[in-house]
Amino acid sequence: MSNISLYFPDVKDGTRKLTELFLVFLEIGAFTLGGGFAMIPLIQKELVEKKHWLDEDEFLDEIAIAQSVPGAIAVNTAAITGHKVKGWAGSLVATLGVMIPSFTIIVLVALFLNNFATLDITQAVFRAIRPVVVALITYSAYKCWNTINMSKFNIAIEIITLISLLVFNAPPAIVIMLAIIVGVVRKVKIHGNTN
Amino acid sequence: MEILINLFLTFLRVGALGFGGGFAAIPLIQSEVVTTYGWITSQEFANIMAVASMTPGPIAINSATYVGFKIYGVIGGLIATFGVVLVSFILIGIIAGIMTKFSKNKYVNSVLEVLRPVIIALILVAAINTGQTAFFDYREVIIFVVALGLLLKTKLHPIALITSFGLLGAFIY
Repeated sequence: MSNISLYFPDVKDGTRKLTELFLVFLEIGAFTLGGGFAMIPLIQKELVEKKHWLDEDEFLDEIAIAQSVPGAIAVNTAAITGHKVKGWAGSLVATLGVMIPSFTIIVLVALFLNNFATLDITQAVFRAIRPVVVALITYSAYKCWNTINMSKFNIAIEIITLISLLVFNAPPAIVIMLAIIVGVVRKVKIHGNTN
Repeated sequence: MEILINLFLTFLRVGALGFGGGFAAIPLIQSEVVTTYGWITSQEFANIMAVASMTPGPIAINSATYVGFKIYGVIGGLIATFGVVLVSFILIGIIAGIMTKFSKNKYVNSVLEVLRPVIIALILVAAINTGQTAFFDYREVIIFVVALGLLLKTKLHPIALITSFGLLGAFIY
């Protein structure tokens, strides 16, 4: 009996966390307008600031992984956040949560509103929402920037990345691969110097 | 049945090859469903993309659901959606497991340290790219400035911001 009572609160806690995870990503899925990146500020607010399931560094690491794996950024981010919080079950629950609103809405639109995208009201609402989404993503970048060291190295990496993305149109996957190589080489070099 | 299998395999491919998010996946989806299989006409495809980018959720998922639904109803939608997320779901799980195991590894940490400023640059570029389709006249600039100001000065929730400006949009435009 005591075994059960020891065991039970744990199960309840696990179930509660899965439910919370599902609901958070259901909400995020319903309000991710304008592509996967629009999800970043929502995740930051809910999971870092409100639930404290991730700290800012872990959050950035997850976005890095979500970006370097093929597939929709929103789904990747949900899957990896879920995994971090509660393993494979968390991953599944978060992914389902983020997909259910879009699935439902798409089916409804396909059934009843084939001209959804060209309706005056949709156009008007989206015209106002897009700059808000730009503001949200900009703010996210600003907040992330505040959490990392203002070292010369970081600033240099930031500038080099911006130039390769904006001027040379480098694909993000390639930029990330190069950053991984730089990370490994840098460690090998520092290690060599200290010996 | 053959259609469902092809639908699944098509979107499995789209999911496995679409690096860098939904917009990168659009040409892939187009070449498969319009050119290779002829399931959907170019015009219909353009309409689907417009809807996919104007409804909540990731564009790759939305377009998978819509294309699948057009071809084979709700089951088609489910199969296509399942196909498009499967590869990334499995890869993510494996990588997350490896990351947890090697979180103390000095090479992993060094890589993550370099990746952090890189990811911030990617987020910033995403803001710039979104901005290219967001500004038409002075009103959008005002909305952008007010929204950014609210985010900096208050603890307003992003959802509250999106909802209230969406409503405002219905009135001012």
